Amino acid sequence: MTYALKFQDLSLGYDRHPAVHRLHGEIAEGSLTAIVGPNGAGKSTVLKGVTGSLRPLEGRIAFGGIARDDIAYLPQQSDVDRSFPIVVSDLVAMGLWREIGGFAGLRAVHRARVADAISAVGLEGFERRPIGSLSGGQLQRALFARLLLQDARLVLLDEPFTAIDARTVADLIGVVRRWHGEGRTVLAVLHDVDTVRAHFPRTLMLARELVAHGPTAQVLTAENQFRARQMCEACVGPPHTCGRNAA
Amino acid sequence: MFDDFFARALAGGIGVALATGPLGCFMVWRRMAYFGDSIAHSALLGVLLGVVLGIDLNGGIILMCVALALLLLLLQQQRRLATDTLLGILAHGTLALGLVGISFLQSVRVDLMTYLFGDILAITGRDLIWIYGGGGAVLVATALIWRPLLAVTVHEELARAEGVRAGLVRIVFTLLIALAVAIAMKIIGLILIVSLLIIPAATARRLARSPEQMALLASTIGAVAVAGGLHGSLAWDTPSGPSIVVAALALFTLCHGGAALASVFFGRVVDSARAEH
Repeated sequence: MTYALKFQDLSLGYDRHPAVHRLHGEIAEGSLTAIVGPNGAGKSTVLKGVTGSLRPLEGRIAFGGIARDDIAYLPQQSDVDRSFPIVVSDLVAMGLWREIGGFAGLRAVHRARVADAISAVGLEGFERRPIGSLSGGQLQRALFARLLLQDARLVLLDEPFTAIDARTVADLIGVVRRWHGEGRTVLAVLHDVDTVRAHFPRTLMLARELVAHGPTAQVLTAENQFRARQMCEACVGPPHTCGRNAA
Repeated sequence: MFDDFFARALAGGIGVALATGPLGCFMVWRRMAYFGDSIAHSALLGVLLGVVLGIDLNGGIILMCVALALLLLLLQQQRRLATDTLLGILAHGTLALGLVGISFLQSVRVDLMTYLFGDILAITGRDLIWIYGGGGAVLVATALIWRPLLAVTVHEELARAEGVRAGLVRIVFTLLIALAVAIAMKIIGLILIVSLLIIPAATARRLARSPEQMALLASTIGAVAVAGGLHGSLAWDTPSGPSIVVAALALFTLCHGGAALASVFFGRVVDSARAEH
């Protein structure tokens, strides 16, 4: 099986202090993988490393035939300014940046794709609604629609189901499963282990370093979870207090 | 002639308002009011630079504002000092340096009040060319970076992941703020300059339903504030720059206060209608 991503002794961090230490392993192409671990385990850091917004302190990430512009990434939702005067369809259309760039206008084909994406996440009829009037779940649906437009082979999701209602979670999991069915590689940072068990065939467990990686049933054991908590508790505080430093 | 200087003042003020409206919107959205203030405060050092180098004072102001803007961008990369601390140091430090430096000038007399509070009534034909040329350039450049700047403003990390060159966009935007500040100096002075960028945009925010609408409204509200402030200044013999800011503030209060009153009044009407049912 070919890989979409290969972590080769990868250390990532901030100000030369590693938040993720010597991660290794492969994410198979077309796989649906959850990244789990306690708070501060370095889960979001790994996604930032894959998008290129964080450069490795050590090691590297190899991309199995996936170009940087074939990656769609959804950061944590809290960063979106809800008071910004923009309507849903314009927010979603920003996902077309790679196709239309800074100057070209939206053609009929683009508008149709925006409408399809909005419809696919169950937001039909909300196109002209300002984002400030949306609930947390509706905004997350709009951001998923923006991802859909990018038509990327690798999809990275950072806590996509946090603080949203159960019905929205179920609908968005449906979108994720559709991506998986289409052969796209999906890597999602998640907290809820029940969701992971129910919908994610593979899991990568982190505690600033790799705890386990493989089929979800084998990774999400009580023993591994206990070990991950212990490893993170041993590193309370900034990453450099663990006594691990980049070379 | 009375008519001439008033017409020039009006034309200059409206020119500045049109150019600063869209930029002001991004400053409001990106919470950069203090950033603009810091750049404006360095303008006095620019005057000093112009005098010392023997170049056009407007050129000196632009050079200094651009240099400080770039320095701020660079210093924001470090983590030892918080951004607001950094801005506070540079804003007041550069203003103080400018005041002290100008006090050493023996051969040239600099009218500090003009630079601190502006002198819109003294606008010349050359100033108008400067305002409309520079302001036009600012508007065109803002239009060119509009879409990526909007994407970065809504969600920078998402925009970066989608391929927007956020760093470059931020540099261009910062340079445009520096240019706009330099252009607007003559109208309103460095102390009040940011108010002409921020207040019209903050007023428009209440009324607009899209970024483009907000930019247009901000320019219009700024132009109305300039016209209203100038008329008030002539009618009551008040300083022109502060009068323009007071007019902008009145529009802001009218808009936000009116909207708040309307929501209270109509909220009660709706509540009583519900109670009747």
